[in-house]
Amino acid sequence: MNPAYSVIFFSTLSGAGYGLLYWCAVAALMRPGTVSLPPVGCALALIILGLLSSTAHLGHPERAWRAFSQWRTSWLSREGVAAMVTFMPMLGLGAGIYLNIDGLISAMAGMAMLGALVTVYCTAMIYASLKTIPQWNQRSVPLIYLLFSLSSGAVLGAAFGLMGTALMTLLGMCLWFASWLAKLSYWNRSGTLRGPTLPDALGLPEYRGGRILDQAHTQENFVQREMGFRIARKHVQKLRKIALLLALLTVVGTGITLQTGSTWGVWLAIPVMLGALIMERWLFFAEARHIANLYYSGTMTG
Amino acid sequence: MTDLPAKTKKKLGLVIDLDTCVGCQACAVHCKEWNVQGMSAPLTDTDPQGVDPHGVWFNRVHSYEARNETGEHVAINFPRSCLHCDNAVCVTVCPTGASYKREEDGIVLVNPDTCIGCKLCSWACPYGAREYDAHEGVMKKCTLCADRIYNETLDEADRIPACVATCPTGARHFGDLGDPDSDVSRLVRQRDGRAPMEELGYAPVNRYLPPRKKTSGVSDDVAPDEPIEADGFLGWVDRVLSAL
Repeated sequence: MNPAYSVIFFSTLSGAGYGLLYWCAVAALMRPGTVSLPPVGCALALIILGLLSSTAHLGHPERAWRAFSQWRTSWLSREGVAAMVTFMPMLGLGAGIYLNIDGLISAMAGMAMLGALVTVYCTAMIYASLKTIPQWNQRSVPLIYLLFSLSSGAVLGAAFGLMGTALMTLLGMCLWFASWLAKLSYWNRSGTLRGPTLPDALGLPEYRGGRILDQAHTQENFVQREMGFRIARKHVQKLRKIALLLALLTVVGTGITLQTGSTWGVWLAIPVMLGALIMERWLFFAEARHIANLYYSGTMTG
Repeated sequence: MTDLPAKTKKKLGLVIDLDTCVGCQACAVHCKEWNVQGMSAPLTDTDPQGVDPHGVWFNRVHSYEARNETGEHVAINFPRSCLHCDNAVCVTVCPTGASYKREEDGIVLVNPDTCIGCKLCSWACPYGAREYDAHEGVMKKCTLCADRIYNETLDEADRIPACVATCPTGARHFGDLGDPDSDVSRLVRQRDGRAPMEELGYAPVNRYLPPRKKTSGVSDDVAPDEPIEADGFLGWVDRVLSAL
């Protein structure tokens, strides 16, 4: 699939933002003294930046408000509704912290945690619900989205000293490892998935072989440009290794903080972590193969 | 709303005969010609007269070669357009309600005034039937010529989709596939009409009629050591050489 940069920035930035919001809320409930306004503000900024970025790939961004209407059937619509609803407890939590109202904080924290998780889950289900892309149509996809959101949010939270720097850093590292283990397993499995063949796509499953005699048109069309992205598949192994290297460098940064107790290691790790996240998300799109490719290349793998 | 109708009154659709289709592209061309000025107009082309023309088409005709169950090579010309699925996931994924399936005749359409151009519907379609109009910023797709089939300013004989009207070999048929007594439904029964990738569960309405069985049975799947059934001198040569 063609990786739209706006969607990649949206799902990584707002994913990290919702993760950070989640840990802000956890800290507000468990160790209220460690939460201040900056981490909540940072979560808010990341989420707004991500949501604004996501509208950039639309043909008619000015009509984006219409996307809140079809929550009964559409995961994309549900995501929009969940994102809007979550602003309420997020702003409430910020107000509670700023005005130091314990009742408001405890009322809003639970809703903020739930809203963050639900929104990220809806984002993942946009992709995981598509039967047309076998790699995405797996139960592990929402889990991976949630793990990356919570782990990147935890590393950000560690920089702000949520729950105490050492505890949050350790939590962030564990979740970061879990995220990449899940990702490695996704990568492993995506090589073994079996989808329909060209004869299936022609409604002639009893036929064998199948090759293209003549292309349907001389120039690439929308389907080929949108669903048949080639660059990533050419360099996939190298790109995966670069992503893993960035992920390991992130761990080095958090490790420094864990060792020295100073947050500068985490601060150094954050830009590297964002790089790893963007790489992971870019590959998520670029590696995915759409069934409609069968009509143009005769295969799902080549 | 993007909820699908529980049941449509009709299931209008196409039946395409893969046995008689010669891959001439006339259906694709007439489709473009009609729809560039029809209800989905403009069907934008970029650089149409230049070296790198791109444009939105509702119908693409592919040509493949494959082997049938008896090993014969068969050329398959495959016109590909929207199959107006009963379980149209392209409709249910739409966040705005711009995509919809009509309750009265089952046609799947896009409202160009409410589409936000997110392209998710095209991702949801396994048949690659939807094409995005980058110039208009909205998704476009086959309308089954909804602006022809009910058009009372046309002669009754012309109230059929443009692709069907123009097919020179009569390989394209249009009708109500929900009515078991319609000509198209009969054709589907007689010729074992197929819905591609039915296992995905999209319940396509359109059907493709598979190529007829060859009568000659000529295949190049010849085992080298088995004698070919032939009489006379060549038969004798084959039996001797096979026995060596």
